[in-house]
Amino acid sequence: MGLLLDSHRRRALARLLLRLNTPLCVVSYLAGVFWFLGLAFSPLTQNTYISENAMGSTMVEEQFEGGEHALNFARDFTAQRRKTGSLPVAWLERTMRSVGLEVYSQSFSRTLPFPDETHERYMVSGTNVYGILRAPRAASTESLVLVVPSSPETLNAQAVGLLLSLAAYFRSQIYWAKDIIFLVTEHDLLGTEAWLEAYHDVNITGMQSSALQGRAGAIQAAVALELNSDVVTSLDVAVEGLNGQLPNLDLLNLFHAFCQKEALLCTLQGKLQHSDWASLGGSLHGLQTLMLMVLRQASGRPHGPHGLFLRYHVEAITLRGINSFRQYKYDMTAVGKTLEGMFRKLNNLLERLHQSYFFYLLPSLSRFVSIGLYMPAIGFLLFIPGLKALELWVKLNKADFGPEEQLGPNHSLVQPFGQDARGVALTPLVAPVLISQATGLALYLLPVMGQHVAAQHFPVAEAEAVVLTLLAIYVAGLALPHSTHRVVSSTPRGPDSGWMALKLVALLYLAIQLGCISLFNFSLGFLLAVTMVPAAALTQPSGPRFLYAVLLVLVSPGATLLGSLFLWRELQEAPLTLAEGWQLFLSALAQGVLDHHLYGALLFPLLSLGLYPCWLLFWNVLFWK
Amino acid sequence: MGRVDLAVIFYGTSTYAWGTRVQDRCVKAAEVTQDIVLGLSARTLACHLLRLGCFTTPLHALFWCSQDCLPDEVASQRLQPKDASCSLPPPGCLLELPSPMECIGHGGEQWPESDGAEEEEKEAELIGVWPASVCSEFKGRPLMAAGSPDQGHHRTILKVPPFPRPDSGYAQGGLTTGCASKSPGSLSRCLAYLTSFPSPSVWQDQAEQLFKSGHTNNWAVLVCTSRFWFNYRHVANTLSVYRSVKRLGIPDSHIVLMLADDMACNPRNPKPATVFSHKNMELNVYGDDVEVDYRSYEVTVENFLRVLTGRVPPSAPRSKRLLSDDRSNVLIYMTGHGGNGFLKFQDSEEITNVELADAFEQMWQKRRYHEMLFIIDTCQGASMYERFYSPNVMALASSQVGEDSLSHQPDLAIGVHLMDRYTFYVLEFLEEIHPASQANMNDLFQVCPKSLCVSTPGHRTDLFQRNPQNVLITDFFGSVRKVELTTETVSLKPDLSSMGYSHLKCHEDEELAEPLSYAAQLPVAQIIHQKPKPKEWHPPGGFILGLWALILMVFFKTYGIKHMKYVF
Repeated sequence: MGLLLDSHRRRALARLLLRLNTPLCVVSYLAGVFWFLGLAFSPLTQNTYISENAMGSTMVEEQFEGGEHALNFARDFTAQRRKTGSLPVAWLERTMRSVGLEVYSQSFSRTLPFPDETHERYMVSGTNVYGILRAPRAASTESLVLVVPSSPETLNAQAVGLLLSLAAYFRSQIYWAKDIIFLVTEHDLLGTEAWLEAYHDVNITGMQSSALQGRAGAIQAAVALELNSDVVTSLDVAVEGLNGQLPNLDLLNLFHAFCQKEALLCTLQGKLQHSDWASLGGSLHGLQTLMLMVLRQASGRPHGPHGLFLRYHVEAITLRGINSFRQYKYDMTAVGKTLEGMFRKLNNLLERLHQSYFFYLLPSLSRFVSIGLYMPAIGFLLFIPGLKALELWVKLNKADFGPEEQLGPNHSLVQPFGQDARGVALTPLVAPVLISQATGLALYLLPVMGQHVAAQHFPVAEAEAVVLTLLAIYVAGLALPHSTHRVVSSTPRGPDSGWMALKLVALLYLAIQLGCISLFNFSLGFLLAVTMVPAAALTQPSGPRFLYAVLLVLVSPGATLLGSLFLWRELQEAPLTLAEGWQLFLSALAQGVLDHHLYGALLFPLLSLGLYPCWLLFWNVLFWK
Repeated sequence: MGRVDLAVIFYGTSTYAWGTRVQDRCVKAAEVTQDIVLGLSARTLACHLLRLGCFTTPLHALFWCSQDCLPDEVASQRLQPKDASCSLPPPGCLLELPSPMECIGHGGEQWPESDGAEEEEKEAELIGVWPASVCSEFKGRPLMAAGSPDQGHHRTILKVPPFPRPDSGYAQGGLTTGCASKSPGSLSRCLAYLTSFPSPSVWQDQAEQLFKSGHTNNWAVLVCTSRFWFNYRHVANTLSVYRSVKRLGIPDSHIVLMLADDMACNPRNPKPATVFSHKNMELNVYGDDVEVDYRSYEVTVENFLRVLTGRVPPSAPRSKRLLSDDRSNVLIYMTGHGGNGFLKFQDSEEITNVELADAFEQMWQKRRYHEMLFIIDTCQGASMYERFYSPNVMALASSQVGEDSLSHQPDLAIGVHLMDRYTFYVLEFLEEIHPASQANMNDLFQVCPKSLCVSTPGHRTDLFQRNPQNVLITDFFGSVRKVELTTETVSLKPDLSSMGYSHLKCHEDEELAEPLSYAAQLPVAQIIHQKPKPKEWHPPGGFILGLWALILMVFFKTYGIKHMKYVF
């Protein structure tokens, strides 16, 4: 504090800050970006390891031999499904009961806020069927879940077959210490959401569902299975859940350990592990995988039924069977043995999985970056708004008591630094901030509320109406500076103090938002920071304003989403053409809004209520008069 | 037969002493299996021996037992049906053993310890010979060379070291509960007179070997401090030691078994009611009868220390007490997760090596042990015994400070490691031990070399007064009673045998020729301030310097300085 109270030193510090501000910002930005790119390289990644003692190693004698059995079940299921046209509830109940489970079903229905064109559904009703295998020698206080989502477009018949076959096998074992719930949900995530809400007796998304008749204690872990072929060449694992939540790393480690034990081919983000990690190629491959994970995590969507379990603090992953053109295929028995091994180890758990990391990034299945190592990247980026804000603050104050400084050190000593209202005039900022927030609110509310009005007045369907309204409001926001200027009274202070104050507030607002976001979803925070921060730092109503305007538009949240889509497909080695990209963009917008309403994804409200108004403030700064 | 040449006096828990001694030498021949003997009182044992034809009837041995010390529930259950024909006098009477009892003395060297067909043959032969020819010959060798009737004038008394004073306040660990503590004066005291002892000089040599221990009873405290299924191996460790000490003769009443978790009944156990120590279900250490004294949440540091120091609440049952005295050899085995200087109890508390050392010192000061063997199987186990300072403690550990103790026997079917390496090899070693084994502590020290254990097992013997080489494994792991031999003559009335069963002989201390006293135990201070070990001798530095100078001089004299370049 002595440093700050001493006016001479304070002035020296302020001068230093002003002089070094730009280089510091540049260095900080580069450091942040390179730190992030360096995450895939060896000093920043560590080998994964199972921390949970209770699970220990892969010491299990897998005896599951019901692969053929599973395929028979799958064929029956497909036939029944074709016959009934929806999930064959009666057949499932009968079959589950015949293998010795305690069987229950749950019906649910949900009307979507607007028609989902991707899945072609609007008024959804379905039934979940689940069977409980009671642990023969333990109290029913804990349980594990094996869930298979089934929907009209992805039947997952083989997964259902394997589930039934595993249930029959598990039933004959005596070593279960937790109940095991075998769950088949209809309408994939919707069914899972309905079941989870009913199981935990909450209703957070407006789902109508019947109450569950049977329970099996607190769910300790869940594995979701998606198989659509009789044989698989590899298993892909999805970890990213709702709002970028991740399961405990131990669950993934467990899967990886059994992959290696069973010599299965296992992929992450659809990418095989590079054989030589230490080489440059291996690290670049890891970086690619890591970028894919960042993009998927940033989207905040549940990438599989497991994503919904995470909200209830149930560690879960989704396994997807991939059947590609590789020569070597694995049958259902191999997949079943992997699941058997995992369930036996999960059965040994004594507490919830908590020993390993909850926040991590994965450059490959066998390596991870812990939160302590990736957070500096965003730290460097968030340093920039702080620096810029400080610079503005110093400038604003200097402009005011510039003449006073000549009065001598004694006088300036009593000048409370930063307390003086003369430093920043806040009243002129109220209007732009309020108007920006109001625009954000409109962006959040109007598309869904006004879809019917829009559909009546324009020749579009409801789903299109929502997306187009969204875009319209978004673009209309660009005209905001013209409307705000009328409200803003003339600034009595220096010519620059108005926009400086606005930018100061906007910078702090941005820094706080990004900081908060990056705490619970690093990927989203980083993606937004790496795009918005430099533009925000550069923006000012003088200089090459057109260039700034283009830059600012390019880094707006919507444009970032578009860019991310292109980057994502590029990394997946399936590049998009512009038209495809646009189509994908539109459907992503619709899905984002739907995810928010159906599952409670936070990305849409965050962008519309937080970052978009913030961005509008910068837009205001740019066109300040 | 009219003379009584040999008397054996047994005190207290001597039933076991009797049982095991006899079992070594004689009962083994009579095919009395161990587990039968171990459950018996002296009376039922005699009865059993009688039925087996080990003695001729009427018995010529003298038995004297007090009534209340006979654990007859177990024994009678097993022997009742057959016992109908056995008409033994009531307890407290004299029985006279026939001369074959000298086989007791000769057994150790005469019967080879190999097992198999040969031994069975001998045994069968012996049984055949036994009643008739009074064991004067065995396989052609004269057993009784010195013991022929006209030479048998030597009289010998075999006696065990006495109990502590009855007023010392220590309850004696009797065979059955509620006996000794109620009436310390009428402790189970059995007396057998054996006749026709051959040659005391032979005996004395053996006696040197036999009587060096000086304890009268054995106790074991076996502790597993870990809960949870994945610590299965710690329970198996403890149970394997339990199995061994029980097999070697320490009864459940003398074992305080503390198990923090119940692996046999864990729902995760694919083989319920078993705890295996070997892969492929080769050895079930859970066995049929495990008596756990402290279980699950009772296994705490406090309870452990209370057991050791004897500060248990008055309500604690006898099975939860360590009722040892200053003639007790105590085995303490611990296993769990530990670190440098501590051992975790149940993931919630720790015992430090200082606390443990202080507890042992308290035990010493309270005369709760005669000698103690401490074994610990945990990571950095050696750190647990490095603070000990009480005398007569020998300590073993599975690993040195800074080393981990490793697990062994991963079993896929059960899904856990079944045992820790150190205890696994200790168990393998103990399985080879039988009550008459002469294996000593040095053998135990070498049980698990680094090549097998991966860690380096450590041991500490500086507090121990005897050479580990002279300490039998069974001094701690078994309940093999040692007796002292005197050559003093005791004159007994020659008409003892004619008195038959009806004679009731109550021996008091007049039989003992010399006053009994405690074996001198070392004062604590002397142990604490032990002299440092003398350093190894080295030749003085000057001598070595001179030697080198001489070598150099000879070198230069021989080759001269100009040849140096060829040297280097």
